[in-house]
Amino acid sequence: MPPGLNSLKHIVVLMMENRSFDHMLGALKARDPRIDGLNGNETNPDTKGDPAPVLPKAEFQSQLDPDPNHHFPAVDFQIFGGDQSDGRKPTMQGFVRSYFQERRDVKHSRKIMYYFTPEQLPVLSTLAMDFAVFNGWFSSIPGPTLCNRAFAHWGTSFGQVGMDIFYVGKQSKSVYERMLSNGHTAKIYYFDQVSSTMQVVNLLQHQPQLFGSYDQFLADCKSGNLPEYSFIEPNYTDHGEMLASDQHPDHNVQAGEIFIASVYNAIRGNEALWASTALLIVYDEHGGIYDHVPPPLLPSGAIDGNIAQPKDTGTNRPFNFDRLGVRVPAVLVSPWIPKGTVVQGRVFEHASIPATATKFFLPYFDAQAPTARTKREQMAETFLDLLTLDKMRDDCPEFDIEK
Amino acid sequence: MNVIRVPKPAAAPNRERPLSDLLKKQVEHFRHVEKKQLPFDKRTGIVAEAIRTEGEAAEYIRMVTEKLHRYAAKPADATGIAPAEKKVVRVPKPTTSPKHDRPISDLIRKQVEHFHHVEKKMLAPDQQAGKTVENIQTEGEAAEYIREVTAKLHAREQTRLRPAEAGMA
Repeated sequence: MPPGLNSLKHIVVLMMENRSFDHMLGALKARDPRIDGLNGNETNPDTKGDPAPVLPKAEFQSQLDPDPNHHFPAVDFQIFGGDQSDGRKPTMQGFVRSYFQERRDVKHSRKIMYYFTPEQLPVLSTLAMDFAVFNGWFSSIPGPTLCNRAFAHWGTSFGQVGMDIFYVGKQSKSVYERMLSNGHTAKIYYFDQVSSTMQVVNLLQHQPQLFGSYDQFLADCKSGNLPEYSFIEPNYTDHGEMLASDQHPDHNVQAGEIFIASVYNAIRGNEALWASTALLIVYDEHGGIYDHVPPPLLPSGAIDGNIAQPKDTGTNRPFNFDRLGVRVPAVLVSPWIPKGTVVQGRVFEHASIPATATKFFLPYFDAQAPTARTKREQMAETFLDLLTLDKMRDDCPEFDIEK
Repeated sequence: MNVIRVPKPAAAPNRERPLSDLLKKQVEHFRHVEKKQLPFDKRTGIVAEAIRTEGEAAEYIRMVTEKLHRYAAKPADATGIAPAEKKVVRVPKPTTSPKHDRPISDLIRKQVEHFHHVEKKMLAPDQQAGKTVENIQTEGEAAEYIREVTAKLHAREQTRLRPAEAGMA
């Protein structure tokens, strides 16, 4: 086993909100052509038929207001451009026309093609260039937040493609239940009681002891008491003197940058923790914002048999959970990862998160509970093989957060 | 002496003017130099092929010039990655203030609905927040409701755990 995996004791997942890969990291292709970002000549037609190009004009706030639609029918339109035929292909040509529906303003709708430069996003860009950036991490469903976040906790959304999710009689065990029932430790750190938690209503009902605040995360990092598996939720609302840090439009993207840096600094600030932790930073879904890579179909072995009916998808078609959602930014951080790693030719999704934690901490789990994980999760790619170095790096970046 | 008066142009700078062939070539040359002289992690990240106006070209050329002055003297290794150095990245503070009256997104609307569901299911009627959640319209209102319910759920859990903890002691 590589020394990085031998040293590994903690996996930390930070899930941000609603930004696509190209929007946040697409410009990095100009720095490293291995990164599957933007060439600069990508376009989408607007409602007048004119091509709207990608442009480095994204702003931190007030640009994507109203919030771009990212519910199932809108994402279906963004991916397929409105084509409902049986042989349709994912062309990624419907983003501008979809956003037009929100304000019916052609000029404004073209802003869905805007992307950030690395100078605007010093934290995410630096981490992507210094550690491992995934060319192919996709949201699990071409739909909104809650069903996508469910995949990060359970490896499934229980057949749901929307926001009304109450998992009555669920069979699959969450990654937290698996960890705790096998004598391991796991926690969900939400930002504070005001922001609280998203999606995990059932966990909140049954196991509130699983939860901690972000202040506790910082204290646990400092004292060396971080659980083996941690999932961090950003601040979802402006409250008190604090800005929301989730980067959900129209929240301030710089506030999210600071939050990512503070998570990194907290781990990096404890030498033993830094040496024994892998930090995954990933976004739940693309938020209706342009990305150029068509989401792939899943292999047949990964299809669980769930079917969302047309009344739930909001299209004229059922959804068999056979295609992933739009691509999102994902970066894996560890001092055991070679600088400048670009993960190419592999497909990841949010089911990769519980799959990785289970494979590493509970390798015997499927033998113990054969039906407790979905086929989808069992087939998902895992990512700890990226910790390949024989010697820990000493050139990792530091973030100096302006006070 | 014959003094010739040179009038000031009436026009204002036009940063939106499309690139001339000359400027297109200048951008191309800067792109070439940037790729050749700067390691990956010191490049601008601007997709030069996407530059369409004089304003965009001017900003790109300024950035490359500044980076060439700062970094071009440092040789890149064979992979194009700069030699190891301690890298401290400054993270700027946002200039905006919290906006408590921002209308809630669909996401926060659903979060509120889910908390209302949990509140009704888990808390006795006299322990519930007693809010009509359909009336919650802003982030500030949603935040306050979610804070209240989360605190009550935690208090309930502490009460529930106390006998077990006492038993363990």
